[in-house]
Amino acid sequence: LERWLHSGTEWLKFTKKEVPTHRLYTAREDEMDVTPWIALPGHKNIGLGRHWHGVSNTFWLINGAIYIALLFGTGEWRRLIPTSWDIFPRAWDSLTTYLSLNIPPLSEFQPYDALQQLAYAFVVFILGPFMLITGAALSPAIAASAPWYIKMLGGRQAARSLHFIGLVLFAGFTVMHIFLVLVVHPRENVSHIVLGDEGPERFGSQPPSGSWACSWSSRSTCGPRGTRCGTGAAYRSRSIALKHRFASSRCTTSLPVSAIRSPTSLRTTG
Amino acid sequence: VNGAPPTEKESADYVRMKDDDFQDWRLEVGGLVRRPLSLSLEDIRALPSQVQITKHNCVQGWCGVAKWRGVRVSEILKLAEPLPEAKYLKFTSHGLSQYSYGGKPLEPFYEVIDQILANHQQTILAYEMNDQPLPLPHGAPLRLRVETQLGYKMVKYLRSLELIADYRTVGEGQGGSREDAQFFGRGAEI
Repeated sequence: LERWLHSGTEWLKFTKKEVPTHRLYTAREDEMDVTPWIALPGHKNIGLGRHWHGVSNTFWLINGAIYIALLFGTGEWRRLIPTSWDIFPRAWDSLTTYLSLNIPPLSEFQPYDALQQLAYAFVVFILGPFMLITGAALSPAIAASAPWYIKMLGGRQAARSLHFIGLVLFAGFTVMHIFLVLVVHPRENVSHIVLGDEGPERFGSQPPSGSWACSWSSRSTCGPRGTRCGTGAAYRSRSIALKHRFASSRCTTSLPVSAIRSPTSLRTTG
Repeated sequence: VNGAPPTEKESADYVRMKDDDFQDWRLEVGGLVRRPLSLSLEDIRALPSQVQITKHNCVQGWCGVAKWRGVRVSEILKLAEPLPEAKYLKFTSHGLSQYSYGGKPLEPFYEVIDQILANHQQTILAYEMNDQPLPLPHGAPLRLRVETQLGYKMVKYLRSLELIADYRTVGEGQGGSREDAQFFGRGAEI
């Protein structure tokens, strides 16, 4: 049995259980109760986890198919698919900006900045299909009718590993995506997402810029002292604007005019 | 798969037959058929056999490759002559299901497949694994292999094959012990 399963060749293991070599070991003993906080709901009943996976995947697939059809049907694909090589140096600039705890100016977002555009294109056109391809390789029906397909991916266990790595990338993207939406030009982002445009008349006209480390984490560092970071004032003015239900702002920041773009020019859809 | 070999408590018959090298073991084929059968291991070995090297895919994620020899389920069906209303095949094990729905007493493990799966060319009743008589932990003396499905469909320690009209009228009506008690779902091809 041991040789049949090649147990012990795994590269990642989430259990302390060892497959014993001296006695019969059945799949039942391998079952584990995992909290739904990190696993699909169902606890020990992995059957329920399968159903959750099936239902959510059906939605994910239909949603993705419609989304991609509309992307190409409306020309909006230009927002996601880079058409110029200079996206890479610009994305690098953007990355170094973020890594030095700064935020690229709003003018970089047309409507996405280079790094964002690359990330979206990767997730929509590479990671999504990748999950579809590796996931299908886990089906015994496909293994039985098209063995070449499983071999192409290096076998079922290799496909499982790839599928899992894809999940980690998806989860990492989701966390990072939501985090940055709330941290990088959040007024414009949320307005763009919810209302479809920048909505300056509802949000006030002063987009924040500068160090995001100040704007999200350390009210006590930046807010009260204000002058330590360039955006201390911007941060305060934003909270004031929000308090006044997005009434036109009272802020008195000294942002460069170039950082403030007309909202209409941001509605670039190609 | 469906567990360790049946114990004395689960099936005294099985333990007795095992100790006797399965001389008295029979596969009972019944239900909606014109000719009910009671096949010994010799009878089954005398039928046309086929060999297949396939990967066993568990719902838990693990898998293993083995070489199986057995008789196609379609050969058994030819002999038994199912009635037209026999849409499904119910395979029952000597072993008990490990779980039950709502804490009911444990029943013999069973799984249901439809006629299309049953007539698939790789759906066999296997009596050899890797050129040896089917080892005890792998379902001796006879087990089901349905290569397009996940492992839980492939009943071990076979006792009977019953042709039925509808899976909803047996067990808890979900199409198998795993489906009844553990929500595994009848669609075991993904």
